[in-house]
Amino acid sequence: MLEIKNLHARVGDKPILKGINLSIGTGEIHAIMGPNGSGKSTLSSVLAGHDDYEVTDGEVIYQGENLLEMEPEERARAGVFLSFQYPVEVPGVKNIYLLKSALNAKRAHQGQEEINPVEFLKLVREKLKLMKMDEAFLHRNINEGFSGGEKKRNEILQMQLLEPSLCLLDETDSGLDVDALRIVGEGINYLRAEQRSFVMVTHYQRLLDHVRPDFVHVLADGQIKASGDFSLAQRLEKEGYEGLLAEA
Amino acid sequence: MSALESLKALAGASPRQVQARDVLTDLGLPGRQLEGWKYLSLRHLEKLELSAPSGDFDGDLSVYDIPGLSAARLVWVNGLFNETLSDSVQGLTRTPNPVDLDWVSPELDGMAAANLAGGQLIEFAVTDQLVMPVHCLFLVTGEQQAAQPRVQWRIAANAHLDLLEQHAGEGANLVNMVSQFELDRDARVTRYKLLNTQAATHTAHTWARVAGNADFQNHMIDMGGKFHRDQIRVELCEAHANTRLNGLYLVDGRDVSDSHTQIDHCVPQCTSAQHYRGIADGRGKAVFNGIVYIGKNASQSATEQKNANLLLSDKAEINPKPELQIHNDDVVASHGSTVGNLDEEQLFYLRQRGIGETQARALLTFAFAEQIAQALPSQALAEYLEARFATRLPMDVL
Repeated sequence: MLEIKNLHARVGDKPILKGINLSIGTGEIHAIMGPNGSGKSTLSSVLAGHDDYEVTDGEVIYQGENLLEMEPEERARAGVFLSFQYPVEVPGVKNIYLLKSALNAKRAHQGQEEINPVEFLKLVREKLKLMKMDEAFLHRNINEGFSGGEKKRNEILQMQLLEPSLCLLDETDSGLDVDALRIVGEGINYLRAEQRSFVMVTHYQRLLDHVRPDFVHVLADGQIKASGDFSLAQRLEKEGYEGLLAEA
Repeated sequence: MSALESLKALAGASPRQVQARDVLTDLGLPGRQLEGWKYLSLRHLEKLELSAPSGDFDGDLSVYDIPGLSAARLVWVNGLFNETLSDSVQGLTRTPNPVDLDWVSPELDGMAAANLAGGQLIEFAVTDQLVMPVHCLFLVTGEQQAAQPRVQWRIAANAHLDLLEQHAGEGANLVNMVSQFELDRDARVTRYKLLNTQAATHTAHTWARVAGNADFQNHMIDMGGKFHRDQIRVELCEAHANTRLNGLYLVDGRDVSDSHTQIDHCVPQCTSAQHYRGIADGRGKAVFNGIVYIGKNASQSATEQKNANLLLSDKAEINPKPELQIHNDDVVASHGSTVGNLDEEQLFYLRQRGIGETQARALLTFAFAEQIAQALPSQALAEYLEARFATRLPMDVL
């Protein structure tokens, strides 16, 4: 699904990613954990194509294509979805408009016709129910005045609708209370499928208790310092990043 | 004959009008020498000879209707009230021989003086909660006419008025308007001013005085045109008076839009809010000057002012000038003014969802204006504007 080779990236003059190597197989769930400032969020932003970050070396191959040469919208249409750590508020644009435009952009890319309004509403209602969101959300401006938990649920709602191949979840657990965390976790689990891969960037283990990863990587100082299975996350929770990284 | 000379020649014969004409002679037409006019001038008018307005109209009025808005219609043609074309509505009375409230002083500037000298004063009294909104249609036909409507509204205690003031028509006249609103206790006015004239030169002074617990809302929508100037002043005169002034100006080509607001907190415990937004494209030029004055005695006042501007072209120009003059410590005041491009984070967010860059930019431009449309209490008017944005903003890809 995704091959990251020797990826280097910087913001301005400051190098953040210093040689990331990572292979994500189809259907796999990877967790990327690390202390603050380790480069976790940078990695997901670079993969999504945010132009604040400049890639200085390395390559990323997504489904056989050079991901780094694609525009953000091309990546999205090809099935790369980023659930933002801080979902952006867009006053003046209704949620339903975003959902429909995004879905139709993807369908156009796949050579399909625009979805008909009745079918669209049926689909959206189904997803809203899953995320325990009220239909009123559709007619509110994108993320405007949403609580932290509502914003994150709205991200997963979009993910549900777009059914991406590669889901990048950037600190999706941050700012969630226990109930919201459970709903978001269920939302992610619902999407787990053989042909779909996940990269979950997180500081804590708590989301991983809901969505069990196949692989766990520890990112520090722009490099992956340790990789393992779920037990690595459990060790991290006990020993902390300092203990584990000292050993590595 | 110059514009100034012809405006003087159009003055009426009453002592007040003659006096106003003399003030006009002293002041001349406003220009860059005045602080409030420093970004623009009326030079394009100077050499024009203006004639007396013609009040005739035999066209179809329904083209100016707002779909979904059922309203009583009052019609002015080139500044002259047209009784035949106007509806009557219960609770709204036209005052015979009205006495001028005289708030807009001829000394303010030459345009105020010219209006008093040559304008036709019409007064309406609102004594009740009207059963429907009032749609005042100010038609502009012909060219080089001096249209100078002067309208007074007296809103009785507890009475409500929803007022759409629409300026429309292809005429290239001068429209020089004065409006005065007197709100008694607990009265409510929601006024929408819709500027839909392309070729006219429009200047307006509006003055409202708001009594205790009364509420005056003004939503000014300038869809762009040759020269549009809108100046409004609201005095909050008794405790718990409230006002909201919103505005949207869209300029393109060589359009000029010039908005001036002033809110006076004269007494304690009044509240005010302003939200003006503008989009400038082409060689368009816009000004927003917002003054909030909080007097020495006006403790426990609360005011907020927001002004956001979007520049879509290198040759467009926007001049924001917020001014807070606060002479009391016990107030809550905030203001913010921005001029900029589209928000990069919003753009990235939309693109990450698969929306192409051109479409995302168009969508965010629409959204910028839409924030003022969404704040309109009238859903019908909001929808009407949304449809019109498509013709005024670069959003044809949506």
